[in-house]
Amino acid sequence: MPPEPPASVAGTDDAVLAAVAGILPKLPNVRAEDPDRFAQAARALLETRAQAGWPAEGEADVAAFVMVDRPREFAERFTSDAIMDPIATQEPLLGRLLLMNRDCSSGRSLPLPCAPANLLDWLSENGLDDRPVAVAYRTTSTMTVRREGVEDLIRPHRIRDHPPAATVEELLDALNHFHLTGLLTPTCCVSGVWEPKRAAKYVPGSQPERSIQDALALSLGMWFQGLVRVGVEDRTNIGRIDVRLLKPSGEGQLAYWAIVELKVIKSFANAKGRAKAGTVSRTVNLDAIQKGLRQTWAYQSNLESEEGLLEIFDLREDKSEDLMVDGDVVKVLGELAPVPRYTVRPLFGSSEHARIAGFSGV
Amino acid sequence: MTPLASARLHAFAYLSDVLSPVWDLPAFDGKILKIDGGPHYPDLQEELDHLVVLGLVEVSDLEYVGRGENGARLEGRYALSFASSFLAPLLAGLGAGKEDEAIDADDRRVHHFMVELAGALATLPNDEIDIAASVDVTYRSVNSLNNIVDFAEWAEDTWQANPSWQASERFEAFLPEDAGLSPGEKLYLYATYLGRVAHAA
Repeated sequence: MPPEPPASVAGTDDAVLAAVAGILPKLPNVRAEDPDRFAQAARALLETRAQAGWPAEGEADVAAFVMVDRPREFAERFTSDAIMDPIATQEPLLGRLLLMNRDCSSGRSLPLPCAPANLLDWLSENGLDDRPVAVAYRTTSTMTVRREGVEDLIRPHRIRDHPPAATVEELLDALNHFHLTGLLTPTCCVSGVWEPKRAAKYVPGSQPERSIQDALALSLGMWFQGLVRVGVEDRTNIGRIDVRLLKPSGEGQLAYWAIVELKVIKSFANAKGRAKAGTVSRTVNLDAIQKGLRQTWAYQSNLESEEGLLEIFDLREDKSEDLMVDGDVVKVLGELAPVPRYTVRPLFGSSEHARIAGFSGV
Repeated sequence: MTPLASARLHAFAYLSDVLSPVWDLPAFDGKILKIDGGPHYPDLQEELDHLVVLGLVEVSDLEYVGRGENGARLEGRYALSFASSFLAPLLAGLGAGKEDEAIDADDRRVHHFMVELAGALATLPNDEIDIAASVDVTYRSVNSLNNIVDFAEWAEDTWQANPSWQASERFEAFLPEDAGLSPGEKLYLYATYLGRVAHAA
């Protein structure tokens, strides 16, 4: 490990190093696992094309991306052409099957070998069933991702025809999108939030905040690709920030734009298997909210972040009581200036409970 | 990047050695002889020739290239030969397959490092890749004896002897307080830095 970050490096120019550090948001998401990195790169590529009006494309509607470790391996197996840097070219994507590396920066391209509806079968028949797959549909501006291969649950992503903007309104949209598509019900909820097979009993996983944190960072990274650098849990001298977002400041160097603190309130503690889950008291949940508010305010102030947001995920079985109006919470809110933005987001142990609560489409 | 020209392959070997501490890995060879045409490892070339003979690597576009006072080199473009039935199990055993297929778990770390570094360098335009090694901070440092740059062979303080490593760590100084970089991000940033220096050269 390096002894200490160097004060300067002989033979280099700090101005150049600083300028290079400023491109961090534009890098591939090297912190993500390969399938997620691939999906993010595929979406960035598709959105680049969509925002340019799909140049050089014909009538075809569908493009299929399959992540492979060594694309050239398929050069002789399937009659295909090399494709490189598609984000910087107008090489057609629609109507093609693209066997790409994890950054979608190079690979092999061939005409779709079958009707789009038969694509998964074709991948299975050709030994590609365990590869991450992203399928793009121009007509519906949607990209579906099967992270673990053809048998996996699909996750849809919108192909935006306008570039994202680093505004607080869009950040709130992104947080809402993540809640609805990645957490709301057990069907779509990221693993680890609920104890396996015990969501209906509202038994959380062992580290639900950690599970939410990682998935949220990934979701925000995908949303703000190229604009904002999303990181998780930096240790600071005042604790740990759950998710922090950096964007270039006026001088081109990165600065804190937003920090997002996560808290979970729940009815039960984690319990494995059939073990009886202990209850979590109202006081413990109130303490978590107050602590979250104070942490969010402190991180925002100390790091001079433009925005500080507290996301409270409500895993309680009975969500009828609004804990934000409790006297102790109101008192804390009164002590903090500026008051951190906070949102309480319900998570349900079944789709039926979500529907009863008024969430349609689940 | 493949098929890979000889010069690029040797340059990649050098950069992977000099940047290996970023990934907390030891350098395979902690020194390099500065000669015309950029880094060149005779031992690596010999191993590569063996792989060609074994049918695991294919070579194309062979040619002699003059190297000033150092004579000439046989250069070509190299790529894995996927036609070989031995290749896939060999790669898997060397850590380039599934997790449980590696003979030594450490090889998977080495493989991840190599793939990330290759990906980082692949973001550069071709002309910048070609001179990336020769503009590397350590390679062009003046601390060489008889044109041998020692960054991890005999050097007692490998941190001081390796300004490329220092530069890759220096990027953190330009991030806001308490924000850090992953090793992969350091590689991408350093590759970008090499591209900028190469472009200006």
